[in-house]
Amino acid sequence: MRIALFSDIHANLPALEAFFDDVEARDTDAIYCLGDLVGYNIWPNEVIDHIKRRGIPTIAGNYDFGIGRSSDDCGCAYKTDDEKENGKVSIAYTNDIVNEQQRNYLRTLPAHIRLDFQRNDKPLSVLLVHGSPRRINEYLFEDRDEKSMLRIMEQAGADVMLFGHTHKPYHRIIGSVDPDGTDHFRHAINIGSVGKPKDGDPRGGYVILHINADASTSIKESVTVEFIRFEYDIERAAKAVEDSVLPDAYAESLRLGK
Amino acid sequence: MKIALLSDIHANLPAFEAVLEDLEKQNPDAVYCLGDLVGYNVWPNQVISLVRKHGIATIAGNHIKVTFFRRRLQQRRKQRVRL
Repeated sequence: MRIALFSDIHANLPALEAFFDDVEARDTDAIYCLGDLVGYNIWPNEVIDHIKRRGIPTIAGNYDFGIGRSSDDCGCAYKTDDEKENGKVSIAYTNDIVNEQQRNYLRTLPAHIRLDFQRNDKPLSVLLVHGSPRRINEYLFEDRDEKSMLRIMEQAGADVMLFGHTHKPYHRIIGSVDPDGTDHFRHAINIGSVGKPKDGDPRGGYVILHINADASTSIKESVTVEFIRFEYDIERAAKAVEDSVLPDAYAESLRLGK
Repeated sequence: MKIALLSDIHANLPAFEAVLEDLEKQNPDAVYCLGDLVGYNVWPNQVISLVRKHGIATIAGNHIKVTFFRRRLQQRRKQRVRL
């Protein structure tokens, strides 16, 4: 099973179009979207329409949740005063231009999608969330304490957990031992961002999750992740920001991937 | 949220093509397939290929669970009452 997962498009239409070109050229069995379709760029309606038209199962990101409810709070953790001011401009602008039909779509997106695989004698539960199972806007960074990550996944009943929100991709394998003495490997996977990467690589990013036909939680290699980066017309996206009321800082972020 | 669900195609390519055509008119927000793609007719490979080409989320005796916010909000309300 090869599952494509993408997230955090943030109204960046050139990046989304390049993503679809890239993923369609690869051999995947299914495709899921982990949210944050809108904010920070000028094409929120177009991005929603693209994803809707393809009938892609999608969960809500914090920005979708906010805009879906016409809220002035996107649930983002801005650090500096500048970031806070820019954030206000972005959410007001997005609220202003998102059409009613598209807003309805955002409002009714689900919080989580769970895929339960039945392999051998043991189930394998794959959980898709935006931030974390507990909060739509919790940041699960790569340096998260292993015990904390394990607890989050245990509480959510997730053997494989896929999420976005930080825009920084990684794959961590967390080993533990079940009460019956068998190894239990869990996979925490941040799938990165299509339209606003922050890991220093300005190209768009997504993942293809591979689940073996005989996958088991006791075999570490049952689940593997392919991190894919694709080129897109960054200048088109950056110029669109600069030609709008959105802060120029967002254009620079796109050029630098930060 | 308008979700299209289809199932038991059983290798019937003409029927599945008609469904795909109809789906375009219906314009749903998401599409799920509940399995039994093959058997009883001559186009199992073509049906599987078409499902994969459209990236339709499909189950095979497994489950997909979609959780909406409404439920979580209700749970939170309940928790608040308990407090």
